[in-house]
Amino acid sequence: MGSMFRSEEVALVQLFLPTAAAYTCVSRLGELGLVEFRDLNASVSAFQRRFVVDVRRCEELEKTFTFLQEEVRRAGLVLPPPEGRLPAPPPRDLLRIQEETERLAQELRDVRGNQQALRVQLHQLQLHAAVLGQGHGPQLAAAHTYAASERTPLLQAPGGPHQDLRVNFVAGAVEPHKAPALERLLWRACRGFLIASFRELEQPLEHPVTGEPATWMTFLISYWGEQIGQKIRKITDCFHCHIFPFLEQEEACHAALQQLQQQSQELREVLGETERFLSQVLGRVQQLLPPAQAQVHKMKAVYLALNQCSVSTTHKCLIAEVWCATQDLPALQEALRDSSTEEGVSAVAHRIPSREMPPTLIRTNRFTASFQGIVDAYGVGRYQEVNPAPYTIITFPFLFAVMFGDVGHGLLMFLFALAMVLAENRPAVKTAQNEIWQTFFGGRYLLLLMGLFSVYTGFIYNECFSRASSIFPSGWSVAAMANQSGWSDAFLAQHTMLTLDPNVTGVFLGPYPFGIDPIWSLAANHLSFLNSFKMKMSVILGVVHMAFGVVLGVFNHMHFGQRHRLLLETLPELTFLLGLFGYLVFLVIYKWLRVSATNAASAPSILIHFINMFLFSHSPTNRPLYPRQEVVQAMLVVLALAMVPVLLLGTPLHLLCRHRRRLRRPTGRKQEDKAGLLGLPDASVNGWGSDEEKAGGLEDEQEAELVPSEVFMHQAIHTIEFCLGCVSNTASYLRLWALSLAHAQLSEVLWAMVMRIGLGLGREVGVAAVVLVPIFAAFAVMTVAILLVMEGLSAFLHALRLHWVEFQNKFYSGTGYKLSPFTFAAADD
Amino acid sequence: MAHHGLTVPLIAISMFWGFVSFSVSWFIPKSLSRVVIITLLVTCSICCCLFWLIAILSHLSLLFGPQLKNETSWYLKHHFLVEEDMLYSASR
Repeated sequence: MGSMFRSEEVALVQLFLPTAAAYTCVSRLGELGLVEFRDLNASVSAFQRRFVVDVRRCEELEKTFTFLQEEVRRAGLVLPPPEGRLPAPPPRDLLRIQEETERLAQELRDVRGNQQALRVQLHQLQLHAAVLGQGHGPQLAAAHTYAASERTPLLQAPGGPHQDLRVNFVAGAVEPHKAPALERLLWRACRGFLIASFRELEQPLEHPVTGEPATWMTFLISYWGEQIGQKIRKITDCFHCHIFPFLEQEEACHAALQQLQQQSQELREVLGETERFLSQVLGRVQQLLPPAQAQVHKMKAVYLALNQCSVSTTHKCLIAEVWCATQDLPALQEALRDSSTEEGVSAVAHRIPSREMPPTLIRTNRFTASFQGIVDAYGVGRYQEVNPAPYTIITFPFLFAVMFGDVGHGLLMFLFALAMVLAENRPAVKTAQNEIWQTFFGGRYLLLLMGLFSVYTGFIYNECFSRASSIFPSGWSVAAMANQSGWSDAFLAQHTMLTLDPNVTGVFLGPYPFGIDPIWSLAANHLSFLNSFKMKMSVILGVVHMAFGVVLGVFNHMHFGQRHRLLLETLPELTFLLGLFGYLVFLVIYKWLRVSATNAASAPSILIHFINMFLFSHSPTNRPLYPRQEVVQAMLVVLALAMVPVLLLGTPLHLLCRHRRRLRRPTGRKQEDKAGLLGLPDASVNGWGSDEEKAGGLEDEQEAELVPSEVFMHQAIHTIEFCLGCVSNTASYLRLWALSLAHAQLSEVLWAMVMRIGLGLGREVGVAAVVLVPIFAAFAVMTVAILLVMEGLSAFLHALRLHWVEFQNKFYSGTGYKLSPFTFAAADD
Repeated sequence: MAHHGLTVPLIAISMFWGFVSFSVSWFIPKSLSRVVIITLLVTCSICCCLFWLIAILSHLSLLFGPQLKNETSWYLKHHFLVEEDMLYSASR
């Protein structure tokens, strides 16, 4: 975890890479994943950069890889992942990889083509054999009789067209879905002049290209007349039927069949050989492809990174500018030294000052990553501003738990998260593709803490699946009340609702030591008590959370050297917040401690006191909590209102004064500053340390950019946002009350409507047990779906909102950007 | 315990969370994340302690009592707190 409190120090480093060693150096840097390259050629288009040829070669190679991958997938094989970490190959190896890949691709294409052709041929042979083999018996017989009587005229027809009554045959095969249409068309076109018989093959044949089995229909058409013959041929051509020569004699038929069978046998052997060769080629592809793919991917990345460097022809080297964490500078220099001494040259790296805001780098481990993730989702922090994540690790699950408090539900959530955490190293879990599961899995530590805190708040709220438990004896004694107020059994029978009075001695024995007294879950007016408790709790937690946020701003002001803001912003903000809402918290606690049941009838109302405080008015019926309350309140309001102009005008006026004082200084100093202003990004100013860089940068910034109207406007917006925000944000924390009430009520309804009915059914053990099974199933499903998933998501969202808006807008700007290092890590996974 | 007060639970809970935040912090091994873990422990202690404190303060001296149904009152009177009753009448 390291120092998560603010971003690590990130420096701009200039690298001088001699041309001979540039590739190896960048490849080494990619393996380490330490630095982020800045694009120095942003104005140059992608086609005009130096290494565009190499990038293009890599891309072409990747196209071939995709083709090979597709072929492997088509054959149903799987590409094994590459073993070990392969570094990016030197440029001369690219030619070898390219040649091998091309050769394999060509072979594969040839073999595939051959296989296709052979398959088509086989299909034809099979169809022919089927057509010949298909017995069109009666037709033949009929045809024979026709043939026999070909010389005798059929009907007493007047010669002419009926002279050539020679019967001819057309035999072929047609696809099954076209057969009815073919039949219909033949009938319509050549009605009366042909006899067509369609028969379906018993066995389906595989389609040569797609491999799908299809049952073909063979047909035998006997016709007479030349024109009819031509018509039939045209029609069958249209329908893409396969036509085969038909042999009437049995022997010729048999001979042809045998020949066909022999041919198809030979063809099958050749096909077998082809497929064996194909699988051989695919095996070679499987071996070659994964490492080659990984290597070329890395090579392309290296060339893209090199494209971002600027070329210095005088020094024969490439100049790169990278963002690097100061901690990693020694590692960076060592890596450069190692990779460049191989080539016999030396690469140099040194820090340069930067006027831009560096990227933010916060190192996290798998536990803190999810919490940093939810902070970053709002906005990545500015360089070196206070990071709310380490506090969020506790406060986020805590505020969630305040809205979700239930021992049973919390325990279920905790166990679910625990299961995920314990199974996190299993490969099956890591490679799951389901997005929703990935979301839950990514937040497993979040869920773990949320469940744990929910169990705690569940104990405090005394709710376990909406049932209260008496771990300690309750602090209310009904017996005492009954004895003192004469609650005989007859009295009880007459009155349906009776209230316990804490004024009676012995009824209230003291506060329940841990949480809410269990008697309240039996009471009809439990919401009156709980609402009051939860509302006050929300306000107290809210004021504490917001005050904490303002205090965190102090660390920002101290770190950036803006101590004037401590006095001119933090102090007025704290006074305003605590003077008004801190006083409200004080009133709440004071009333809890001081006002007791003895004078309950005339108990003061905090709400009315608070309203009167702002309106400077007085309610005679509302007695004060302590003497001279009105004076104190008036003072606080005046003080808070007095802080508003301080907040509004303090910082801008201070900045203006400082600016004027600086302008009045002698010109010599100004020249120096001007030189600083004109400093180029790649000037090698070796002596600047981090402090001078920070202070110098700041001075230049303020000198160059102090526009009075902007500063006043900015401060006005900040003031209004803070003051109005105080009121609205405090009220916003009441959602803690609202959601916990909703959860408790839903839980109670589920119990009363489902489980209690189930438990109250039937006296016999058998009936109750059998009925309880589906009832419990319904209870469990609704608990998980409504209370865990829906309420959980809802409470998560609201806790997130409280953090993002109410807490973080007191100190966090979130306008930075992350350091995304140049790394091959994605390729290795 | 027939009579609850504020003092005993207050001391017990404060000691517990104090132990968690101070003593456990000493035993965290020196590593990169030591400061963060200590921050977590302290934040956790403060949050949980505050929450418990609010809960117990809210019913320290209540202005009204629970309103029970007569069946509940009857049951509690006769079956649940019989021990309490005996102790109470013995001490009177």
